[in-house]
Amino acid sequence: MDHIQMQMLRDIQKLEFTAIELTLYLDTHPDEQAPLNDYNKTAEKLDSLKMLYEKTYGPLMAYGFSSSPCPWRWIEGPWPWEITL
Amino acid sequence: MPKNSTTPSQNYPNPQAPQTPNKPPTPKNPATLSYYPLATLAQAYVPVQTYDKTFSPEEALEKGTLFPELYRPYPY
Amino acid sequence: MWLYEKILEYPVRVYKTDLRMAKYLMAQYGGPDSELSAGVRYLTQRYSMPTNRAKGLLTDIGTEELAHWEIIGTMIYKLIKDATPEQLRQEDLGGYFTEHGQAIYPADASGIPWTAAYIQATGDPVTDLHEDMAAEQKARTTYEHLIRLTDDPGIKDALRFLREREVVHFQRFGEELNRVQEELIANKVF
Repeated sequence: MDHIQMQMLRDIQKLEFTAIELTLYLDTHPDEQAPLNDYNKTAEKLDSLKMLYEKTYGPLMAYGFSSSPCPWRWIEGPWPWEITL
Repeated sequence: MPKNSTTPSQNYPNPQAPQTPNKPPTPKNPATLSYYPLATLAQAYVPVQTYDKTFSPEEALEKGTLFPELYRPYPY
Repeated sequence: MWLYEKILEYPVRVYKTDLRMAKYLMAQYGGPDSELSAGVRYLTQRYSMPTNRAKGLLTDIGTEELAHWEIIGTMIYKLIKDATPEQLRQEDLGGYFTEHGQAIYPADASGIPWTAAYIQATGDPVTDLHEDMAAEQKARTTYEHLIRLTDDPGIKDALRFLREREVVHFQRFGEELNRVQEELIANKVF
């Protein structure tokens, strides 16, 4: 795993965590516009960042969420628990 | 919207670029101010959080919450 | 349906073998107040919740707990992967090695296997949400004990993140408890 891949994974983690926090907040405050705007903006950025990552480093999700060249890239290591950097 | 959030157009090969430090904002509506005037005996209540300042995505991940008013660091 | 994403919720920076700490961390992997108990508890209780908010909240927090379970599993994996059987025996993990080798099996810090007896689902949303709030507090306490047991900055860092999540989840369950109680009083639910 190279330095750039690590950096991109870290950036995805940052945005995804913001999205998780806003999800839980919205679950108990479903009628509030400001957190909803932030959620939607975060989701959009996260989506394009993940697409950029997957183009170079392979799918973050299988189950039909992104396509794969041959050979099937989903099973490429390292898996999340094996990352050593 | 949290500042300093990452965009896909960011220049990845240069991760050492200087970053603006983030100061934790002071919430203008501390959660402790909200309470239940009609609270019933023998029931538990938690003050409802109000949406205010949030940490940047980077600081949120590092601290474990997006919300300054929920951040309770453990001193060990 | 669940979708697995090939990324940890929080990075695990653990580089050394530390069998004693791995053993303590089993409390959060397969103990009564573990992330596994939390995930199974919330994902079980959600079916009998009376409001859509509560169903959503238990689904989302339950799912996040599984991501925390993966973080704990990753920490234990990294702490024991390079250990020899002799090292495991010296740290009183010989019995564990006999039964599980270097696998990451859901048992507690004393080797007792995980059981559904650690969780409850009563069908009463007020009762279940109280259990959930208590569970978040028990897990927070367990994380504080674990933080006191290590000097490794990488382990401490991930444990601090997980501990803070317990605080946030407690808040969200509390907000939903208020709402469920209000609705019960207004007789909207039963």
